[in-house]
Amino acid sequence: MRFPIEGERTGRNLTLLAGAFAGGIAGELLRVPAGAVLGAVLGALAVNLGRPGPRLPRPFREVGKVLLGTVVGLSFAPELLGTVAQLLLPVSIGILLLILAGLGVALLLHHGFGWDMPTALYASTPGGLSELALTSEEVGARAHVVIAVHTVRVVTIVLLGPPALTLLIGLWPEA
Amino acid sequence: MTDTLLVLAIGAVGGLVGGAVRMPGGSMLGAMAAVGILQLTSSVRFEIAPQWAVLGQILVGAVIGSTLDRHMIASFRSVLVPGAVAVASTLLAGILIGSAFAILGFADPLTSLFGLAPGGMAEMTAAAISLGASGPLVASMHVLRVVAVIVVLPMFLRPAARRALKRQEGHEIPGGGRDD
Repeated sequence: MRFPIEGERTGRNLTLLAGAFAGGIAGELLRVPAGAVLGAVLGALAVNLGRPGPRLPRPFREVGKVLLGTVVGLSFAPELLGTVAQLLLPVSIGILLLILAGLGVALLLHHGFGWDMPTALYASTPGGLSELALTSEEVGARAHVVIAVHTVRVVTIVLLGPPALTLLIGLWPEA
Repeated sequence: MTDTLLVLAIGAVGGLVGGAVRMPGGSMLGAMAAVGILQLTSSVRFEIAPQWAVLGQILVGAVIGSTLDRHMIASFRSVLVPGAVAVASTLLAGILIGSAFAILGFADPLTSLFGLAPGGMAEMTAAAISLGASGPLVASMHVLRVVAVIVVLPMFLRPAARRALKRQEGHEIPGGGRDD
């Protein structure tokens, strides 16, 4: 669906935001794990499926990211810098393992499902969506498949991650 | 009120600078670094109302929700089984590695799992904050992941993808593979 008139585009953005705020506030009030982000995803998704149209412009996400960065920055303390430095090596090893697991998945997609290797590699690499989408096209991967897989990955983990991890933490021996 | 305005202004400037230099996760990391420096160098401890974090979480969630439309679902449906395998395997790998990280005692379970979950940096930090994990640690872990993927991986990912593409072109079009 095209939105040729600026007013319609503004109306579309406001409707998406209204859906997201309704969902986010409901998620918070109902004390759902990570309710604000989860509810906002579901609220905007409901609007989007009911009335398909363009996604929210990038600046909305940037404002959200700046606010999150600001809140995270406020929790900085001198001890934290030491902890981050101490964790550099183990985190790097963890990330290396994550990347290797992605390469294993790429081989599975290539050999098991007949995907071309560029698409398999870019669809299974645990990187940022926009960077992977841009570079995947350069190497001849099927960009729409790469974007679809990564979008579903991020949406899945945002929707299922908090409740699943909360459940997992409940089963944790020390918890 | 003055504190809030000051912190938000510094966060906004940091975010703009981070976005302008095009570093991975730039706006979030720029804001985090600018406010973090303010907090570390100031003699007073700054605080803002928790509703600002909720606002950030809702905005990030809103954009994610708006990206998933019928076309995206149709694209994913066309590769449903391998796509689901890709998503499930990547998530499982994140959970296993995060669990190992927590079991080895590097960080608490929530921070470990969210820090090594292969979701978006902003989305995972938002979820982690709301569940009481260490936001700065989770964000730092995702910075490392994104930097590793963006900086290190293309060094062999692009050549490997190009080689595979040339091989396929060579199979599909006899004599079509060029070695440029």
